[in-house]
Amino acid sequence: MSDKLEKDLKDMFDEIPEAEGRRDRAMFVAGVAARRPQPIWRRALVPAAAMFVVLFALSIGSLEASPGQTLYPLRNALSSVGIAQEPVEVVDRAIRRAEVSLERAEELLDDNEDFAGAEARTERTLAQLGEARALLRELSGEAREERADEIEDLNQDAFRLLEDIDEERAEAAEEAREESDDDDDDSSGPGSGSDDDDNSGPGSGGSDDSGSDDSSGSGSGSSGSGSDDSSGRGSASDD
Amino acid sequence: MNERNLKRLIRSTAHGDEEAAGELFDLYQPRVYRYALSKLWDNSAADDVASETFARVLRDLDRFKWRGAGFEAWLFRIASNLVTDHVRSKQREMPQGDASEYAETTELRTPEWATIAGETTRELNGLLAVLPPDQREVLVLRFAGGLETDEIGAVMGRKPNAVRQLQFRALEQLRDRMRDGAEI
Repeated sequence: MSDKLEKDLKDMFDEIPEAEGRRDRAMFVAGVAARRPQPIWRRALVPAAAMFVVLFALSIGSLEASPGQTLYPLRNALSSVGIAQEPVEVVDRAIRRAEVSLERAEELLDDNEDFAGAEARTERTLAQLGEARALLRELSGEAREERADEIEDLNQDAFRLLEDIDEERAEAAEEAREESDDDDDDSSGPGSGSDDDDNSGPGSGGSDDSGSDDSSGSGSGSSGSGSDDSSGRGSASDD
Repeated sequence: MNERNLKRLIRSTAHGDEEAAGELFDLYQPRVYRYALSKLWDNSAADDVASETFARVLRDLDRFKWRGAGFEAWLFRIASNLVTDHVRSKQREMPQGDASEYAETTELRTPEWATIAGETTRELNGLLAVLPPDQREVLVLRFAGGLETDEIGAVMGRKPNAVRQLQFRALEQLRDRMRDGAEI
């Protein structure tokens, strides 16, 4: 009985018609084919290319890394295998950069009177000189002293330039003020001169120079003589 | 197919062998479909479950490790989970009363094949519907999926002895009901 029941159950499920499934089969097979492992060289190609790009970018970025910067150890490593620049070259390059920057600042001041631009450029020069000074640690002996002097000279030049910028800015401001004062005088004279000259100009001019003397002189004189006359006339009449 | 050949087939499939993939699909897709249809009584839903099962096989084949009950248990566990997900999603879509009916009753959705099948099939189909869910699951995995006891245990998370007991009780119930001429 049990065997027959199990057989009947199996037959029952076997009677279930199969699903079409062709499309699913094709998708499954295609999916499996897509997972087929690539040849080793092809699998390695993409990671290797990516690695190369990253290393190249890091190498370029590290060429002028200063001590203390993240890429500095990489630069040291590259330097040890002769890929990175020599320390002297790196310092010289930094000094040249600062020099060019300072020249540009001088041009901005002398040719364009661009005080703000020249000031900004000079400040950048000072920062570049700071970087160059940090790189000096990698040098020693005469090479180091020479570069240190060069940096110091440029540093002083930069500070002098900042002073010049301040002075010229102040001069320019003074000139501008004077020009504006002149402009003020010219513009007020002709505009109100006819009225002031006629009505109050002489009066007030007299009060500044001789008017006060005249008026006070004539005033006191007239009052003096007046009082004398009146008193004389008064006393005469009494007589 | 013996275990050694099946392992070779799976390894080849995992390595992108199209022929092996086709063979693996042909070997198991009908069984998975039958299992899903026996649980869901819905051709379209069973089709979806079978399709999704093989999509997951494709996705996870690299991670498959032959342990314990092996590939068939792994395959039918995927199918079983998908069937459960389908039933839950259907239950969420249905009014509450109908939802419990969907999970427990098969008679209302007796598929075409069962209605045109022989008397015994129709009778068994009706009897299966009233078995407790775990007993029915054992029989469906055993006779629709073609799994062995240890594989059924791996799918259901039961020990082989427990599966044997469930199967024994299920068959006993069916036998009693058939003998008594139980209502279908």
